[in-house]
Amino acid sequence: MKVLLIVFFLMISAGSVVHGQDSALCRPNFKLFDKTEGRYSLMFYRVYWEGQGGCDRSSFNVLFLLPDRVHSFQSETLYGNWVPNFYANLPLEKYEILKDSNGVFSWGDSMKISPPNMDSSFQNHFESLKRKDARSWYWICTENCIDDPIFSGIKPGRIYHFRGGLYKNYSIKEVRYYRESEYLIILTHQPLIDEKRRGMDGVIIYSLSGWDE
Amino acid sequence: MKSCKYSIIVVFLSCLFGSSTLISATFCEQKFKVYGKTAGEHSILFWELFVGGECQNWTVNGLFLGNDKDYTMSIQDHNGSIWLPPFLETVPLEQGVKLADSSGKYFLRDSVFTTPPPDDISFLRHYSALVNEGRGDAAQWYRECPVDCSDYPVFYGVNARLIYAYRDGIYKNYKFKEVLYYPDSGYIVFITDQPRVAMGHDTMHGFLVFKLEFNRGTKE
Repeated sequence: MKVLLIVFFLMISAGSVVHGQDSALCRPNFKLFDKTEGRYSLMFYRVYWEGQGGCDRSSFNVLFLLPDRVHSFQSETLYGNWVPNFYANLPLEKYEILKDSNGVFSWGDSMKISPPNMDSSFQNHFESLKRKDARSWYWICTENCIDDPIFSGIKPGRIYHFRGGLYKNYSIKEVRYYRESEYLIILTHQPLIDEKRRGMDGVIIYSLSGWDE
Repeated sequence: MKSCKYSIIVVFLSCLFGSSTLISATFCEQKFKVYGKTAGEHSILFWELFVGGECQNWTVNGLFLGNDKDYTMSIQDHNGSIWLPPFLETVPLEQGVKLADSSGKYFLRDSVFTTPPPDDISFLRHYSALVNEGRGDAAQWYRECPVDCSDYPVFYGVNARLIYAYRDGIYKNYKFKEVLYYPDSGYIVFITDQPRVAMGHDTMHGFLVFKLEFNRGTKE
Protein backbone atom coordinates (compact mmCIF):
# COMPACT_ATOMS: atom_id res chain seq x y z
CA MET A 1 0.00 0.00 0.00
CA LYS A 2 2.84 2.36 0.99
CA VAL A 3 4.65 1.60 -2.26
CA LEU A 4 1.48 2.31 -4.22
CA LEU A 5 1.08 5.62 -2.43
CA ILE A 6 4.69 6.57 -3.20
CA VAL A 7 4.27 5.61 -6.86
CA PHE A 8 1.04 7.61 -7.00
CA PHE A 9 2.77 10.62 -5.41
CA LEU A 10 5.70 10.39 -7.84
CA MET A 11 3.33 10.19 -10.80
CA ILE A 12 1.50 13.29 -9.63
CA SER A 13 4.72 15.25 -9.10
CA ALA A 14 6.06 14.16 -12.50
CA GLY A 15 2.82 15.28 -14.12
CA SER A 16 2.94 18.60 -12.33
CA VAL A 17 6.21 19.43 -14.03
CA VAL A 18 4.16 20.31 -17.04
CA HIS A 19 0.62 20.66 -15.82
CA GLY A 20 0.89 22.22 -12.41
CA GLN A 21 -0.59 25.67 -11.93
CA ASP A 22 1.30 26.71 -8.83
CA SER A 23 4.21 24.34 -8.86
CA ALA A 24 6.52 26.73 -10.70
CA LEU A 25 9.80 27.20 -8.89
CA CYS A 26 10.27 30.52 -10.63
CA ARG A 27 7.74 32.72 -12.35
CA PRO A 28 8.47 35.91 -14.27
CA ASN A 29 6.90 39.04 -12.86
CA PHE A 30 6.82 42.06 -15.07
CA LYS A 31 7.27 45.58 -13.81
CA LEU A 32 6.18 47.80 -16.66
CA PHE A 33 7.60 51.29 -16.50
CA ASP A 34 6.02 54.24 -18.24
CA LYS A 35 6.19 54.89 -21.94
CA THR A 36 7.33 58.17 -23.42
CA GLU A 37 4.81 60.11 -25.46
CA GLY A 38 4.28 59.42 -29.13
CA ARG A 39 4.01 56.66 -31.70
CA TYR A 40 7.82 56.53 -31.81
CA SER A 41 8.56 56.08 -28.15
CA LEU A 42 10.61 54.34 -25.52
CA MET A 43 9.58 52.15 -22.65
CA PHE A 44 11.29 49.92 -20.14
CA TYR A 45 10.14 46.86 -18.34
CA ARG A 46 11.85 44.76 -15.76
CA VAL A 47 11.53 41.01 -15.41
CA TYR A 48 11.82 39.68 -11.87
CA TRP A 49 11.95 35.94 -11.48
CA GLU A 50 10.20 35.09 -8.26
CA GLY A 51 9.44 31.82 -6.54
CA GLN A 52 10.78 29.20 -4.23
CA GLY A 53 14.42 29.23 -5.22
CA GLY A 54 17.09 29.88 -7.82
CA CYS A 55 15.14 32.87 -9.09
CA ASP A 56 17.55 35.64 -8.32
CA ARG A 57 17.78 36.75 -11.94
CA SER A 58 16.25 39.97 -13.09
CA SER A 59 16.77 41.94 -16.24
CA PHE A 60 15.79 45.20 -17.83
CA ASN A 61 14.29 45.36 -21.28
CA VAL A 62 14.53 48.56 -23.25
CA LEU A 63 11.96 48.87 -26.03
CA PHE A 64 11.92 51.42 -28.82
CA LEU A 65 8.35 51.28 -30.10
CA LEU A 66 7.53 51.97 -33.72
CA PRO A 67 4.12 51.66 -35.37
CA ASP A 68 5.11 48.41 -37.07
CA ARG A 69 7.89 46.96 -34.94
CA VAL A 70 9.85 47.13 -31.72
CA HIS A 71 13.60 47.29 -31.33
CA SER A 72 14.44 45.70 -28.02
CA PHE A 73 17.59 45.53 -25.92
CA GLN A 74 18.24 43.68 -22.72
CA SER A 75 20.44 44.75 -19.87
CA GLU A 76 21.47 43.30 -16.58
CA THR A 77 23.46 46.36 -15.61
CA LEU A 78 20.76 49.00 -15.70
CA TYR A 79 19.99 49.74 -12.09
CA GLY A 80 16.65 50.42 -10.47
CA ASN A 81 16.83 54.18 -9.94
CA TRP A 82 18.09 54.94 -13.40
CA VAL A 83 14.76 54.63 -15.17
CA PRO A 84 12.73 56.99 -12.91
CA ASN A 85 15.58 59.49 -13.00
CA PHE A 86 15.69 59.24 -16.78
CA TYR A 87 11.92 59.60 -17.08
CA ALA A 88 11.96 62.74 -14.91
CA ASN A 89 13.12 64.68 -17.96
CA LEU A 90 10.76 63.21 -20.52
CA PRO A 91 7.07 63.61 -21.33
CA LEU A 92 5.25 60.40 -20.45
CA GLU A 93 2.03 59.07 -21.87
CA LYS A 94 -0.88 58.16 -19.64
CA TYR A 95 -2.50 54.80 -20.13
CA GLU A 96 -5.73 53.14 -19.17
CA ILE A 97 -6.11 49.68 -17.70
CA LEU A 98 -8.91 47.84 -19.42
CA LYS A 99 -11.75 46.55 -17.33
CA ASP A 100 -11.54 42.85 -16.54
CA SER A 101 -14.73 40.82 -16.57
CA ASN A 102 -13.93 37.13 -16.01
CA GLY A 103 -10.79 37.32 -18.13
CA VAL A 104 -12.40 39.35 -20.91
CA PHE A 105 -11.11 42.90 -21.11
CA SER A 106 -13.07 45.78 -22.53
CA TRP A 107 -12.87 49.50 -23.12
CA GLY A 108 -16.40 50.83 -23.26
CA ASP A 109 -18.32 49.28 -26.12
CA SER A 110 -15.61 49.91 -28.65
CA MET A 111 -12.97 47.35 -27.74
CA LYS A 112 -13.10 43.82 -26.35
CA ILE A 113 -10.16 41.47 -25.84
CA SER A 114 -10.64 37.81 -24.95
CA PRO A 115 -8.12 34.99 -24.49
CA PRO A 116 -7.50 32.85 -27.59
CA ASN A 117 -9.46 29.70 -28.26
CA MET A 118 -8.07 26.49 -26.80
CA ASP A 119 -5.62 24.70 -29.05
CA SER A 120 -6.18 21.10 -27.99
CA SER A 121 -3.15 19.78 -29.86
CA PHE A 122 -0.73 22.24 -28.28
CA GLN A 123 -0.08 20.41 -25.04
CA ASN A 124 0.84 17.22 -26.90
CA HIS A 125 3.18 19.18 -29.12
CA PHE A 126 4.80 20.85 -26.16
CA GLU A 127 5.20 17.59 -24.25
CA SER A 128 6.79 15.96 -27.26
CA LEU A 129 9.61 18.50 -27.24
CA LYS A 130 12.99 17.13 -26.26
CA ARG A 131 13.53 20.20 -24.09
CA LYS A 132 10.24 21.44 -22.78
CA ASP A 133 10.68 25.17 -22.62
CA ALA A 134 9.72 28.30 -24.51
CA ARG A 135 13.01 28.56 -26.34
CA SER A 136 12.65 25.04 -27.79
CA TRP A 137 9.06 25.79 -28.74
CA TYR A 138 10.09 28.76 -30.89
CA TRP A 139 13.00 26.78 -32.26
CA ILE A 140 10.84 23.87 -33.39
CA CYS A 141 7.56 25.60 -34.17
CA THR A 142 7.10 26.80 -37.76
CA GLU A 143 3.55 28.12 -37.87
CA ASN A 144 0.88 29.33 -35.45
CA CYS A 145 3.52 29.53 -32.76
CA ILE A 146 1.73 32.36 -31.02
CA ASP A 147 -2.02 32.74 -30.62
CA ASP A 148 -3.17 36.33 -30.45
CA PRO A 149 -6.09 37.17 -28.19
CA ILE A 150 -9.48 37.54 -29.85
CA PHE A 151 -10.02 41.20 -30.58
CA SER A 152 -13.30 42.79 -31.40
CA GLY A 153 -13.70 46.42 -32.42
CA ILE A 154 -10.05 46.93 -33.30
CA LYS A 155 -7.46 45.79 -35.82
CA PRO A 156 -4.20 45.36 -33.94
CA GLY A 157 -0.87 44.11 -35.24
CA ARG A 158 1.48 42.23 -32.94
CA ILE A 159 4.85 44.00 -32.79
CA TYR A 160 6.56 42.41 -29.78
CA HIS A 161 6.47 39.44 -27.44
CA PHE A 162 8.67 38.53 -24.49
CA ARG A 163 10.65 35.52 -25.71
CA GLY A 164 10.39 33.65 -22.43
CA GLY A 165 6.60 33.54 -22.66
CA LEU A 166 4.47 30.87 -24.28
CA TYR A 167 1.39 32.26 -25.96
CA LYS A 168 -0.89 29.26 -26.41
CA ASN A 169 -3.88 28.45 -24.22
CA TYR A 170 -3.08 31.35 -21.95
CA SER A 171 -5.21 33.70 -19.95
CA ILE A 172 -4.92 37.49 -19.87
CA LYS A 173 -3.82 39.14 -16.64
CA GLU A 174 -3.82 42.82 -17.57
CA VAL A 175 -4.28 45.05 -20.60
CA ARG A 176 -2.79 48.53 -20.80
CA TYR A 177 -4.15 50.81 -23.46
CA TYR A 178 -2.14 53.81 -24.65
CA ARG A 179 -4.90 55.80 -26.24
CA GLU A 180 -2.82 58.63 -27.72
CA SER A 181 -0.24 56.49 -29.42
CA GLU A 182 -2.54 53.49 -29.96
CA TYR A 183 -0.57 50.69 -28.38
CA LEU A 184 -1.85 47.80 -26.30
CA ILE A 185 0.35 45.99 -23.82
CA ILE A 186 -1.00 42.66 -22.66
CA LEU A 187 0.32 40.62 -19.75
CA THR A 188 -0.42 36.92 -20.10
CA HIS A 189 -0.49 33.95 -17.75
CA GLN A 190 0.58 30.56 -19.03
CA PRO A 191 -0.62 27.66 -16.86
CA LEU A 192 2.05 25.27 -18.20
CA ILE A 193 5.53 25.40 -16.74
CA ASP A 194 8.73 24.29 -18.39
CA GLU A 195 10.93 21.33 -17.57
CA LYS A 196 12.91 23.39 -15.08
CA ARG A 197 9.61 24.33 -13.44
CA ARG A 198 9.79 27.92 -14.58
CA GLY A 199 6.67 29.82 -15.47
CA MET A 200 6.16 31.01 -19.04
CA ASP A 201 4.01 34.09 -18.49
CA GLY A 202 4.52 36.82 -21.03
CA VAL A 203 4.16 40.30 -22.42
CA ILE A 204 2.76 41.03 -25.89
CA ILE A 205 2.55 44.45 -27.51
CA TYR A 206 0.12 45.38 -30.25
CA SER A 207 -0.07 48.46 -32.41
CA LEU A 208 -3.54 49.50 -33.48
CA SER A 209 -3.80 49.95 -37.19
CA GLY A 210 -7.50 50.72 -37.30
CA TRP A 211 -10.94 50.30 -35.84
CA ASP A 212 -13.80 48.21 -37.07
CA GLU A 213 -16.54 50.22 -38.73
CA MET B 1 61.28 33.37 -77.25
CA LYS B 2 61.70 31.07 -74.25
CA SER B 3 63.37 33.84 -72.22
CA CYS B 4 60.53 36.16 -73.15
CA LYS B 5 58.01 33.63 -71.77
CA TYR B 6 59.96 33.38 -68.49
CA SER B 7 60.21 37.12 -68.17
CA ILE B 8 56.42 37.40 -68.59
CA ILE B 9 55.94 34.83 -65.83
CA VAL B 10 58.43 36.66 -63.60
CA VAL B 11 56.69 39.98 -64.21
CA PHE B 12 53.28 38.38 -63.50
CA LEU B 13 54.46 36.79 -60.25
CA SER B 14 56.18 39.94 -59.05
CA CYS B 15 53.01 41.91 -59.77
CA LEU B 16 50.98 39.35 -57.85
CA PHE B 17 53.20 39.24 -54.76
CA GLY B 18 54.25 42.86 -54.96
CA SER B 19 50.63 43.92 -54.77
CA SER B 20 49.85 41.62 -51.82
CA THR B 21 49.84 44.56 -49.43
CA LEU B 22 47.24 46.23 -51.59
CA ILE B 23 45.17 43.06 -51.76
CA SER B 24 45.11 42.76 -47.94
CA ALA B 25 44.37 46.46 -47.35
CA THR B 26 40.82 47.00 -46.14
CA PHE B 27 40.89 50.77 -45.50
CA CYS B 28 38.32 50.49 -42.72
CA GLU B 29 38.01 54.05 -41.52
CA GLN B 30 35.88 55.02 -38.52
CA LYS B 31 33.62 58.03 -38.79
CA PHE B 32 31.74 59.17 -35.72
CA LYS B 33 28.74 61.42 -35.49
CA VAL B 34 26.76 62.41 -32.42
CA TYR B 35 23.03 62.13 -33.07
CA GLY B 36 21.82 63.72 -29.87
CA LYS B 37 21.50 63.38 -26.15
CA THR B 38 18.25 63.26 -24.24
CA ALA B 39 17.80 65.92 -21.59
CA GLY B 40 19.09 65.50 -18.06
CA GLU B 41 21.90 63.83 -16.20
CA HIS B 42 20.29 60.40 -16.51
CA SER B 43 20.09 60.36 -20.26
CA ILE B 44 20.99 58.52 -23.43
CA LEU B 45 23.70 59.75 -25.75
CA PHE B 46 23.10 58.44 -29.27
CA TRP B 47 25.99 58.31 -31.69
CA GLU B 48 26.66 56.82 -35.05
CA LEU B 49 29.67 54.82 -36.07
CA PHE B 50 30.30 54.16 -39.71
CA VAL B 51 33.32 52.03 -40.55
CA GLY B 52 33.99 52.50 -44.24
CA GLY B 53 36.35 50.79 -46.66
CA GLU B 54 35.77 47.09 -46.97
CA CYS B 55 34.15 46.94 -43.51
CA GLN B 56 31.05 48.95 -44.44
CA ASN B 57 29.65 48.56 -40.94
CA TRP B 58 27.10 51.12 -39.81
CA THR B 59 25.68 51.18 -36.29
CA VAL B 60 23.71 53.44 -34.05
CA ASN B 61 24.94 53.32 -30.47
CA GLY B 62 23.29 54.46 -27.28
CA LEU B 63 25.17 55.18 -24.10
CA PHE B 64 22.98 55.25 -21.00
CA LEU B 65 24.54 57.95 -18.84
CA GLY B 66 24.03 58.84 -15.21
CA ASN B 67 25.77 56.15 -13.24
CA ASP B 68 28.09 57.08 -10.39
CA LYS B 69 31.05 55.29 -11.92
CA ASP B 70 30.66 55.07 -15.67
CA TYR B 71 27.89 54.40 -18.14
CA THR B 72 25.17 52.05 -17.03
CA MET B 73 24.36 50.36 -20.31
CA SER B 74 25.28 50.53 -23.95
CA ILE B 75 23.31 49.44 -26.99
CA GLN B 76 24.29 48.91 -30.59
CA ASP B 77 21.91 48.47 -33.51
CA HIS B 78 22.39 48.13 -37.25
CA ASN B 79 18.82 49.30 -37.88
CA GLY B 80 19.05 52.41 -35.77
CA SER B 81 18.31 54.73 -38.68
CA ILE B 82 14.75 53.37 -38.71
CA TRP B 83 13.77 54.16 -35.15
CA LEU B 84 16.19 56.76 -33.89
CA PRO B 85 15.45 59.93 -35.92
CA PRO B 86 11.67 59.81 -35.33
CA PHE B 87 12.23 58.94 -31.68
CA LEU B 88 14.54 61.91 -31.18
CA GLU B 89 11.81 64.18 -32.53
CA THR B 90 9.50 63.16 -29.69
CA VAL B 91 11.80 63.70 -26.70
CA PRO B 92 13.45 66.81 -25.28
CA LEU B 93 17.13 66.92 -26.15
CA GLU B 94 20.00 68.68 -24.48
CA GLN B 95 21.69 71.07 -26.86
CA GLY B 96 25.39 70.36 -27.27
CA VAL B 97 27.95 73.09 -27.85
CA LYS B 98 30.86 72.51 -30.24
CA LEU B 99 34.03 73.86 -28.65
CA ALA B 100 36.53 75.68 -30.80
CA ASP B 101 40.21 74.86 -30.97
CA SER B 102 42.45 77.72 -29.88
CA SER B 103 46.00 76.70 -30.82
CA GLY B 104 45.53 73.22 -29.41
CA LYS B 105 43.72 74.45 -26.30
CA TYR B 106 40.05 74.43 -25.48
CA PHE B 107 38.60 76.89 -23.00
CA LEU B 108 35.49 76.26 -20.95
CA ARG B 109 34.47 78.53 -18.09
CA ASP B 110 37.69 79.01 -16.08
CA SER B 111 39.12 75.69 -17.15
CA VAL B 112 41.26 74.62 -20.05
CA PHE B 113 42.02 71.26 -21.59
CA THR B 114 44.39 69.99 -24.24
CA THR B 115 45.42 66.81 -25.96
CA PRO B 116 47.92 64.86 -23.89
CA PRO B 117 51.60 65.56 -24.56
CA PRO B 118 53.02 63.28 -27.26
CA ASP B 119 54.61 60.05 -26.15
CA ASP B 120 56.58 59.44 -29.30
CA ILE B 121 59.48 57.33 -28.15
CA SER B 122 57.89 54.70 -25.95
CA PHE B 123 54.68 54.52 -27.96
CA LEU B 124 56.45 54.17 -31.28
CA ARG B 125 58.80 51.57 -29.88
CA HIS B 126 55.95 49.49 -28.55
CA TYR B 127 53.75 50.06 -31.53
CA SER B 128 56.44 49.18 -34.08
CA ALA B 129 57.05 45.94 -32.24
CA LEU B 130 53.34 45.16 -32.45
CA VAL B 131 53.12 45.84 -36.15
CA ASN B 132 56.00 43.48 -36.75
CA GLU B 133 54.20 40.74 -34.84
CA GLY B 134 50.60 41.13 -35.85
CA ARG B 135 47.91 43.46 -37.14
CA GLY B 136 48.99 46.42 -35.05
CA ASP B 137 45.41 47.29 -34.29
CA ALA B 138 43.74 48.53 -31.12
CA ALA B 139 42.75 45.03 -29.97
CA GLN B 140 46.37 43.91 -30.12
CA TRP B 141 47.52 47.15 -28.50
CA TYR B 142 45.28 46.72 -25.45
CA ARG B 143 46.05 43.00 -25.25
CA GLU B 144 49.81 43.44 -25.22
CA CYS B 145 50.46 46.94 -23.94
CA PRO B 146 51.98 46.59 -20.44
CA VAL B 147 51.12 49.93 -18.79
CA ASP B 148 49.91 53.45 -19.66
CA CYS B 149 48.08 52.22 -22.72
CA SER B 150 45.99 55.35 -23.14
CA ASP B 151 46.65 59.05 -22.68
CA TYR B 152 43.43 60.93 -22.15
CA PRO B 153 42.84 64.67 -22.53
CA VAL B 154 44.50 66.83 -19.89
CA PHE B 155 42.12 69.01 -17.91
CA TYR B 156 43.09 72.04 -15.82
CA GLY B 157 40.64 73.63 -13.39
CA VAL B 158 38.00 70.94 -13.65
CA ASN B 159 37.57 67.36 -12.45
CA ALA B 160 36.94 65.02 -15.35
CA ARG B 161 35.79 61.45 -15.00
CA LEU B 162 36.12 59.05 -17.92
CA ILE B 163 32.74 57.54 -18.73
CA TYR B 164 33.37 55.75 -21.99
CA ALA B 165 36.22 55.03 -24.39
CA TYR B 166 35.55 53.40 -27.76
CA ARG B 167 37.69 50.26 -27.70
CA ASP B 168 38.88 50.25 -31.31
CA GLY B 169 40.60 53.60 -30.90
CA ILE B 170 44.17 54.12 -29.74
CA TYR B 171 44.55 57.09 -27.43
CA LYS B 172 48.22 57.91 -27.86
CA ASN B 173 49.60 60.80 -29.90
CA TYR B 174 46.21 61.79 -31.22
CA LYS B 175 44.41 65.03 -31.98
CA PHE B 176 40.87 66.16 -31.29
CA LYS B 177 38.68 66.14 -34.36
CA GLU B 178 35.59 67.42 -32.61
CA VAL B 179 34.73 68.39 -29.04
CA LEU B 180 31.11 68.59 -28.00
CA TYR B 181 30.07 69.84 -24.58
CA TYR B 182 26.68 69.44 -22.90
CA PRO B 183 26.49 72.35 -20.43
CA ASP B 184 23.35 71.31 -18.53
CA SER B 185 24.56 67.85 -17.60
CA GLY B 186 28.33 68.41 -17.78
CA TYR B 187 29.13 65.63 -20.26
CA ILE B 188 31.79 66.21 -22.89
CA VAL B 189 32.47 64.15 -26.00
CA PHE B 190 35.81 63.94 -27.80
CA ILE B 191 36.05 62.49 -31.28
CA THR B 192 39.75 61.79 -31.73
CA ASP B 193 41.93 61.51 -34.79
CA GLN B 194 44.71 58.92 -34.66
CA PRO B 195 47.16 59.51 -37.53
CA ARG B 196 48.67 56.04 -37.23
CA VAL B 197 46.89 53.21 -39.04
CA ALA B 198 46.78 49.49 -38.37
CA MET B 199 47.67 46.80 -40.91
CA GLY B 200 45.31 47.03 -43.84
CA HIS B 201 45.27 50.80 -43.47
CA ASP B 202 42.46 50.54 -40.93
CA THR B 203 42.15 53.67 -38.83
CA MET B 204 42.09 53.74 -35.03
CA HIS B 205 40.21 56.95 -34.36
CA GLY B 206 38.42 57.25 -31.06
CA PHE B 207 35.37 58.40 -29.17
CA LEU B 208 35.64 59.47 -25.54
CA VAL B 209 32.99 60.65 -23.09
CA PHE B 210 33.85 62.41 -19.84
CA LYS B 211 31.77 63.87 -17.06
CA LEU B 212 33.01 67.27 -15.93
CA GLU B 213 32.63 68.52 -12.39
CA PHE B 214 33.54 72.16 -12.02
CA ASN B 215 34.76 73.53 -8.73
CA ARG B 216 32.21 75.63 -6.91
CA GLY B 217 32.37 79.26 -7.86
CA THR B 218 33.67 78.57 -11.34
CA LYS B 219 32.23 81.22 -13.63
CA GLU B 220 30.19 80.38 -16.71
